[in-house]
Amino acid sequence: MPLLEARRIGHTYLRFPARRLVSLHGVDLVVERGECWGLIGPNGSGKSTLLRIAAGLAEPHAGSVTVCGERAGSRAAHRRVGFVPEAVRWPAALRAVDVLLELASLSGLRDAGARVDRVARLTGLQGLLARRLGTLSLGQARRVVLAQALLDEPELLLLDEPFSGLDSLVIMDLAEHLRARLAAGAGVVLASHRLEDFTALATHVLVLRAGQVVAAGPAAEVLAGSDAREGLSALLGSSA
Amino acid sequence: MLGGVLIIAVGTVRRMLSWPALAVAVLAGAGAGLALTGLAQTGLPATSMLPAAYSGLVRVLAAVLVLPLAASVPTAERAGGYEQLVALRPIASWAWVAGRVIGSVLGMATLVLLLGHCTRWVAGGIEVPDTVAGQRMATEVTDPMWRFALPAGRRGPFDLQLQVFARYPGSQPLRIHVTRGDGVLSLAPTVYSRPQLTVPLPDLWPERGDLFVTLHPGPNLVLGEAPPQLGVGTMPLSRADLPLPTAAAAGLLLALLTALAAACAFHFETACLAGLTALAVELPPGPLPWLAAIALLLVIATLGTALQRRSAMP
Repeated sequence: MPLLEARRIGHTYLRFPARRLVSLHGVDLVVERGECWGLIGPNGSGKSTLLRIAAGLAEPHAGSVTVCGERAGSRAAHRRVGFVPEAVRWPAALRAVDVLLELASLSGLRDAGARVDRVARLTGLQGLLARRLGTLSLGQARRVVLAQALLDEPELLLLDEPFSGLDSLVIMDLAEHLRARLAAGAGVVLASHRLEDFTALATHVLVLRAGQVVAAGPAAEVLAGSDAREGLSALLGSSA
Repeated sequence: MLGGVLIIAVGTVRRMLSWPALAVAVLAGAGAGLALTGLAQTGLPATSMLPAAYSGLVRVLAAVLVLPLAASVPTAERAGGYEQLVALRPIASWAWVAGRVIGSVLGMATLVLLLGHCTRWVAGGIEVPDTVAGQRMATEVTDPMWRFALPAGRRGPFDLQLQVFARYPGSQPLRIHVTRGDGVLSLAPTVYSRPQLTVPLPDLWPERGDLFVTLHPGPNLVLGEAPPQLGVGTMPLSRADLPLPTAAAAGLLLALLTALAAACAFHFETACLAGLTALAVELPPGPLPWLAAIALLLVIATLGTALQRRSAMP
């Protein structure tokens, strides 16, 4: 049974008055255990929407999404998913450790303190746990977002621009951790508009443009050859 | 699930009782206390009305402080994307709402108590005018006699405050007779100058007992209907004289729930407006309307939360 199975996903944003923006159209994505799918596409291509639908935070207007056979958005599916949204503005007055403990407790983790310590080490947050979230830099706050997704070691990680604002040492540590999770049978879907984010991790790649799949398959095939890479760079660059 | 309610409640309390919110409550309370002190020193409002003024001031400040704060917790979390992270955790919408309600009520109670006690701490103990209201003795409309029960040990002169209106402009004499025990004194006629008249009265020491004042208005003078007051000095305002506005607590709670329910589905401004509107609503007496209103608001909040966590994330 695939970790994530999204079939013929369609999604439309409704904007007043009577304006419809098609964000996804007939997108298929199947993630098996041990696979890391990279979603590549320019801004507005539907990457974040696809991740939110997979996380069960948005309803597809067409098609179906299941996580380990459970309907996306159901409680059983939520237990298996770790989600890193593109942007989170944290409650500024709270400390990082308070937020992580709160989210760990809500996940029903009994050893919340130990889990928080572990993900803090992993994301380089050890010295920042006692700081109030309002005082953290963009990159530091991003680490807190990553840490909360790793708290309960989910089977499926949905990461939206996870490395933006992070320094290279933390990126290397995280990539190593993600590889270990993949080896343990987890699945990862990683959205980014930076090609270099995929080369180290992605086993498969899905290229989106204007809500439609341009190319999909093993990373080695899709990213192989300088022509393909230049084409993707041009595609991504054209949106900047 | 109860664990989830508790976690959300504690989280909501933490968000509401941030240092800036506590500081604002303390400063607002101190400011209200200073304002009340200033008003008391100038005699506005009358000393007897100070508790009501205090209650009103605390109620208004509490609403202005607490309602936006309660509305900001869900709306800020939704706008900032934090709600997505909670939505992924195994917690039902009703439990989420229950936690927020419990946390908001606890946060509100803490802030209102802090605000009210700060006001009492600043305003309590100040010297305020001590007045005695006159009790009418005679039935004559034109020359009424008023009795003033003087507090023991107070020495004069006292300030007689009364309302007098003149039918025609010009000098209008008002004659006043003062009686205490066996002592009788006729004051020199007082010339009318303005409707709020203050006339110094002697205490007729060493006579004891109540003071009786007979007013003889001139032909074109009309005495006001309000009983005259006798200023007998000053007294320290006791903190116990400034009771917390417990009677307003139910209204404030309903406004808080309204703001919270609206905040679970709508924008911050809409939620604040809904809460302020609820302050003006008077429910029929009896527990049933209150229970129905609270139940309806909780249902609205739960539905709003459920809809938002499904599809309205940023």
